[in-house]
Amino acid sequence: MARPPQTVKREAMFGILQGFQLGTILVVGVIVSFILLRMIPIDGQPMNATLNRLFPITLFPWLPATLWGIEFLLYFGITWMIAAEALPALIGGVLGLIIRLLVSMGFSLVLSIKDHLSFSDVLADVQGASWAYRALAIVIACIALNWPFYSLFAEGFSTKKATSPGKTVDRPKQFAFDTAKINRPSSATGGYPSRTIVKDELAPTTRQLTPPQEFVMPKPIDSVHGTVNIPLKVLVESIPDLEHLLAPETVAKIRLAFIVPQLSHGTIWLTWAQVFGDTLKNTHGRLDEEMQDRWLRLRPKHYVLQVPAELFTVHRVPPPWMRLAEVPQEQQFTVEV
Amino acid sequence: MASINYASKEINCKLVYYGPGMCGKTTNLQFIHQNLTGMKRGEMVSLATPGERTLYFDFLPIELAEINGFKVKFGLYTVPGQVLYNATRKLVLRGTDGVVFVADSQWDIMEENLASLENLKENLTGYNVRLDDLPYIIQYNKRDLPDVAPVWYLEYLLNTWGVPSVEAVAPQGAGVYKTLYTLCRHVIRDLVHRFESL
Repeated sequence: MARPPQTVKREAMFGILQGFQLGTILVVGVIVSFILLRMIPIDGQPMNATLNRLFPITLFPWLPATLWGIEFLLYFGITWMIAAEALPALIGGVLGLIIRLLVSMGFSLVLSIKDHLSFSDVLADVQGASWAYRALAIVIACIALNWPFYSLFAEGFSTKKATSPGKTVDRPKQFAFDTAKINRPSSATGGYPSRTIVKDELAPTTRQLTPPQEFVMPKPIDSVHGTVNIPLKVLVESIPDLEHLLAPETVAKIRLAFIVPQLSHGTIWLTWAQVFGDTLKNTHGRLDEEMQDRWLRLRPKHYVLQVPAELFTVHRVPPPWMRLAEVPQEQQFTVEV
Repeated sequence: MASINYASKEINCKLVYYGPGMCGKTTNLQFIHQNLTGMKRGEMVSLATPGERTLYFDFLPIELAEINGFKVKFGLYTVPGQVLYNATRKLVLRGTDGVVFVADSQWDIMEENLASLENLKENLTGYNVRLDDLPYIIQYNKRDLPDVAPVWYLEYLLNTWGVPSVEAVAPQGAGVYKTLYTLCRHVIRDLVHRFESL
């Protein structure tokens, strides 16, 4: 689908703004550096002489320029590692040199004030003979590129293009559905689309249930909340480690001690001696240690229909909108199938 | 919140069918769309996967009543029931005038029903609306299936405030209109009383 011209125009404007942003950084950096250099006390010497003193010829005439070039390549390389694009790397190279120069000037200012020396002399010394200061300034510039400016370069000044999808990606196929797996309504499911119900895990063996803090244990009398018959296979499903103790085919009569309100799981306090009676397998004397009272979670379907419905009676206060008087227009809603 | 168009003399209300996945929300709308006669209804818009899971929402506009010369139009929406699409559910809920909570009556879906109801309350709270401030009713759907929970237990579990509830078999249409009309009545009642109090 062709894009509307307005979008194209807006993108072009966005590009111009990005270019303006990059250009502004470079121009402002150069102007700031120039102003700072102009502020250096020249001691009666011309500007270019001062500049010459910043790049002292020590061993070979081309050495200072080579050193600055190597530094530029260092900053360019660092930024390239971050941005992986030429333009941001170029900006990084220039920015690195500017930072490095500003740091050197900072050192020089501090040292000149401290030792009552000429600023330009100290600056020339920092740039030339005092290699330690120079190295320190380079390290600081590298840190600056890697830390405060990292995100700026990582985003490539918003110039990075989005990765285009690979040629092998077949987008229609990517979002296609396997029609063979579609669940269709059938008479067996009452006309509803069928689905596989994911069974939730009942209380695993390793995770012991504990009663709620506010729970008050009911007195051990019959019919606290009714007595229900539960197939032992349901209990085994909940506490698999008791499988060797229980005969799954039998039904146990257990006392429902507690129902957690508004939860689909009821929690019962299982008193083994009262529950199982003669349904136990031969346990070879291991009963004492394993036959402890414990909490058990049961699906409501296993007990709800066996206990008095009054247990599930909740006092309800209808919301205000239910207490509003009828309006005549309601009578229009009378159509029924 | 219902919107009133004085130029065209229309009141537009938004009703949302909410509930767990595959509980029959879209089936409700489909039945209404296929069988509503003698009233003005628009085309049903449905964004669903081929697996019949609602992907975004269903929309069905219907025109049911007239109040003081203003036509009352209801926009019926459903939400995707799957847990994954909560942002969409919340978006569809915005500005709703009434909610039908469609519960799946099967025993095995009880936890999903509860989770969906909690999710409904939570999403409405995001719009500074409490569920009991809003006309809403509960539909206990799939009553024709075996292994369903008794209504009194569903009431205990889901109907905290004793709001109107309807038993339904959505594919056959049982309870579908009753659900719609019950909610529409309460929404109109709420609307009229709200405007009268202004």
